[in-house]
Amino acid sequence: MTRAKRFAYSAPFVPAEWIAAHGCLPRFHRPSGVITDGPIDDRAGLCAYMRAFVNEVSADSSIDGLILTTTCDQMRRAVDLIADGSAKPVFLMHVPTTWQTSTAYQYYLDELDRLGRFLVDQGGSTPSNGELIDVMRGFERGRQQIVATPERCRGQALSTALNGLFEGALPPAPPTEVRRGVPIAVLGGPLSKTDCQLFELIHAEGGTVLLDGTENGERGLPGKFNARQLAGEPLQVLADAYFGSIVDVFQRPNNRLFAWLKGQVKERGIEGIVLVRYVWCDCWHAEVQRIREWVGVPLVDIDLNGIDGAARNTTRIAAFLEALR
Amino acid sequence: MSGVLRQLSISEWDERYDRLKDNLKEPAYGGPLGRHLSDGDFRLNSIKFDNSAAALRLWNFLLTEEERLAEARRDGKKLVGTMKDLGTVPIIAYADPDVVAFYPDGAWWIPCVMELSAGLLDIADSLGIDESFCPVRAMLGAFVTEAHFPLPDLLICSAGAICDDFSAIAQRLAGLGHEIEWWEIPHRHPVRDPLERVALPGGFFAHRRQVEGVTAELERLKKIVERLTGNPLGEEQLRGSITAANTVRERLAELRQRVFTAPICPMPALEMLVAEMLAIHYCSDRDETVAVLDEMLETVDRRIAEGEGYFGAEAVRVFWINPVADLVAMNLLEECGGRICGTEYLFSHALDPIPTDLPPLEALAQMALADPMIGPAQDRARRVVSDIRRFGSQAVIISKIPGASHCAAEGAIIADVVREQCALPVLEIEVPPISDSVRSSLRTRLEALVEAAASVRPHRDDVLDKDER
Repeated sequence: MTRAKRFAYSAPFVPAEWIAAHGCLPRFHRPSGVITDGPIDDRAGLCAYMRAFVNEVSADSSIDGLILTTTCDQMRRAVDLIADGSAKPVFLMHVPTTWQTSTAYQYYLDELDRLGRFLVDQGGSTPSNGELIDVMRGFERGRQQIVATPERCRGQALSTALNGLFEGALPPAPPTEVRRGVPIAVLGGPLSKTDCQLFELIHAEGGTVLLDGTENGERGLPGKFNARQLAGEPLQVLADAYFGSIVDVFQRPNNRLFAWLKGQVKERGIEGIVLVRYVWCDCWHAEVQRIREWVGVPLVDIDLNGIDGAARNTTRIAAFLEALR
Repeated sequence: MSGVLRQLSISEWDERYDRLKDNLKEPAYGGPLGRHLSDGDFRLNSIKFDNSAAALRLWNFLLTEEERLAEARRDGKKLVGTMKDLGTVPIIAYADPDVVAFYPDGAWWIPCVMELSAGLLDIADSLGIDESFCPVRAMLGAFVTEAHFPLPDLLICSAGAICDDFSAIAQRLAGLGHEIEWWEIPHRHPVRDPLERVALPGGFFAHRRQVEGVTAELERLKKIVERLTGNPLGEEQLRGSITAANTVRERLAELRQRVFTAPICPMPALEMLVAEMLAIHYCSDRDETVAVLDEMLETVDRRIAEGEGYFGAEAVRVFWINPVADLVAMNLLEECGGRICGTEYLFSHALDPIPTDLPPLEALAQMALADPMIGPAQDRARRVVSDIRRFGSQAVIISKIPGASHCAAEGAIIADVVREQCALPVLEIEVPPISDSVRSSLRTRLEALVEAAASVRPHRDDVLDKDER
């Protein structure tokens, strides 16, 4: 018996349910952070996270294809860079930047349709509505279990839990840890496994992370499915939960991100924000000052280069937390 | 008579102007170029200009846009600031005679032209948009100072498959309180099914659904413009605007063809760059744009007929990719023994004729989707290769835009395709808004490219398309 094909993605706007409903395995891949050789060479101006993701996934024999998105220039252009050299099939999904119009919503639906055809070309099968609904219900139940334990919603623990869910074996919840310290939100672009050491660093320096607002953190989880519409229009419900609910800095306008952040800061009593962004990530970089002005809690801006985010930034984070205590 | 022409400095031009002025027929914005120095356009002191009356008119037209915009406002016209799409939305805006459209993006050349004296980049820095961003960040400063264009009545910006720098900077602008109407331009992806595939101007293809989506977005923008003015925009007006745009594009196509294929360069690079820019936004006066281009065409035709030109027949024919942040770099290439024969300044879709056999907004949607920047870099590279063959270029310069998020990946892809398909020398350079500090190394690199191209100079027939022979 041949195993289902596994497709790796990084952007939260790729619905795992859609991949799974086609009989394939979704892999919400968080790269280790150690940039390996691969189809994308080291070159000035290229994002270290993008390189780590693409090269690592390309070398991973358990992964059969890549699904990248247009949510940032680096990921979008990665597809151009590997177009002629990738040994694995690559799909580039246009995630609309605008979100207030029916046109944008329709683009997203059209892209899901195109993704579906790609998966079928790769050996998947077109799901019936019933099959899609079953997968959606199963994944939503699993996600509810995950978010019920705050420790599972942060950093590497979240990707491990989600991938366990996708593979049919949700790992047991880690024991709840009582940590006291300055309530911190980590906000920004995606983090590699190595970058996730920042969470431990924050704890070590007297903070406690109550919100992972990074791209591959809690912020990237889809909204709840509309139970009443689910039976009749599952694909639309899926699109609502992902495209209609996830907020990100690349969206235009991106005021939903600000509203979400303000709400989370208030609800969780956040007293400081550690904003993390990879060098060359223009969308987060451009908003640092505005977030600082808007949210009303202290913020430290940490840039990552893919080598060792925690070690490089120990002094800054320590000083930031010392100032907050 | 035949001969080699000599470019003029601005002081030489002013002396020439004094001698010619009694016989010059100039438009209202005419006058000596030197007067722009007192406006702070100090870079003009470092530029070498074409010596024709047509070029004088072109430069004066370019450097007086701010006055035209102010005048339009005084006349009660609505000003629409269109951002990033480079050529599409202004055609909708200009369909209403009471609207003037312009590109605030154009502020990216202000730090160069004013030699940083306007402080726009400092303002961008203060807003958190530092030098890791593309020079278009100067636009933020221009909005803050309100010293370079009147604040528009309406701001429209394309979003989606555009570069992150621009998107981030425009969002920062919105964050400062400037309301922006965003519209989606999707990534142009390959389409396998021929029944779903739409052939676009310029040779690319898009999916039928994408054409429908962009058409719907343009329809929405049309309504927004209508709300601004209170005037409905009918199909006839839109068709008229497309016809007018095509008139400009036809002139420009003729100009490019004649200049880039002439045995001796009849019009230098900088004037051609400025002329190409007119196709995007008409420098806020569409009719005058046609007149300016007509005078350039007359000058070029006369020079070709009389065997006049610059740099001699031995000048290496260079294809230039991306606009350069410091205009002086174009002069420098010519000093190094090159001449421009082919360009791709990010807006080749604004040079192609717009279809006239389609509903107007669908035609404009096709044009928008033909933007070389919204699809794979390989598409753009293929178009570059096609134009290299068309114009018989002998070398290629890829001018990376400092800080621009797309250049790191895109430049390498284009370079690889050009080397593979054309076997031409390719040079990647990066030029800051004021390049004086890197001038000597830039000169060395340009000279090396010219030398390499001259030593492997292909016969022009080797690179020309069959149709061109």
